[in-house]
Amino acid sequence: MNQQLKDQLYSRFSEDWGDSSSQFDICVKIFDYLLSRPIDQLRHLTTGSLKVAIGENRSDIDLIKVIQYLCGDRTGVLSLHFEFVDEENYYPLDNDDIKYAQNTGKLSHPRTGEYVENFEEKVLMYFTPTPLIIDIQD
Amino acid sequence: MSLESFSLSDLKKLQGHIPELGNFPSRLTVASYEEFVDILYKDLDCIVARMEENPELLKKDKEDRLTIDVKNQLCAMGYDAGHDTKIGGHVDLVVKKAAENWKWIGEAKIHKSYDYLFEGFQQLTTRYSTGGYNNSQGGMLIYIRNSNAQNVIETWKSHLKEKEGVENLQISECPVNPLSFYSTHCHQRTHLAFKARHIPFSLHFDPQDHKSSNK
Repeated sequence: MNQQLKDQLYSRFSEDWGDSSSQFDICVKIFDYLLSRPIDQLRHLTTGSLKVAIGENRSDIDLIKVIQYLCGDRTGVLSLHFEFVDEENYYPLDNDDIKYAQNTGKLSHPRTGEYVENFEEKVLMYFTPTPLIIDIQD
Repeated sequence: MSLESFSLSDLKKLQGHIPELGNFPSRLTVASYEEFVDILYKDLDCIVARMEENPELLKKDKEDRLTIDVKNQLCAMGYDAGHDTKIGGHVDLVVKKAAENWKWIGEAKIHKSYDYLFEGFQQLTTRYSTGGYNNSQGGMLIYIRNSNAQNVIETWKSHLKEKEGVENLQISECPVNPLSFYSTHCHQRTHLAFKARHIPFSLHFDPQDHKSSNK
């Protein structure tokens, strides 16, 4: 475990949120959770699974704010990914698909190629740990 | 809203209550310096709007305190933002995307005089910014405590146009905020175009209700 790097991240959470804030607690709990699990068990984290992982009754809004923070350049702890869900089938989407869809309002179905109505309801977000977590674990 | 299957649509619904979540996915999918700056400006607009909601709480805050507030809000969104970072001097606000070596620098001034604003513009464009392709945009954060922010901005625009030494200056309107505008000029160091957004924070606070009831 790279303790120095780990402590740097804790300090940054503290600097950005303050030690006594709910957001600081959530940051630490998610970070500790990521460090405590083998990487191959963290390949598809959802906001729901992260809420379960922190194990406490926190507001959904605070959780999503913290996830946004942990995905950013400030900490670079989580990577954001997108997937398209159609009934029981999940299709990964890349960033360019999402950008195109957000700019044009159109998303092509990954299998049929047909435009999808109300695509924003069918595009889900999930997360994976960044290489930074692997570096700290090593 | 299900957290297990959290969709872009769910995020959009939350945006109504928490504006800073609105650009969350876009912020992370930027593929060019221009896109990085465009999203940053959307986020800065959210921060400006929030600070303008309660100017009475900011009445006594000095330049640094106001800028630290902006920096803290950017950090909470996930930006790698810093205040007083050493880059050719101590810059008021820097936002970086280290992986791409992109940098945006902001110079902050409480409006006292137009020469004071120009001093800030010169700091931004001749001291702090490199003017390279990856630092070709910046911003003037103008905290306005006077009434009539529009007049301050229009006068500042005219003042800037009259100044010598700002080579090939062009002014363009901001399509989002009529109080904001862009300047583009030839950067002294590189001779590449340097684009600055001039971002007013309208912080005047002088309610008239008690005054009229006291008459």
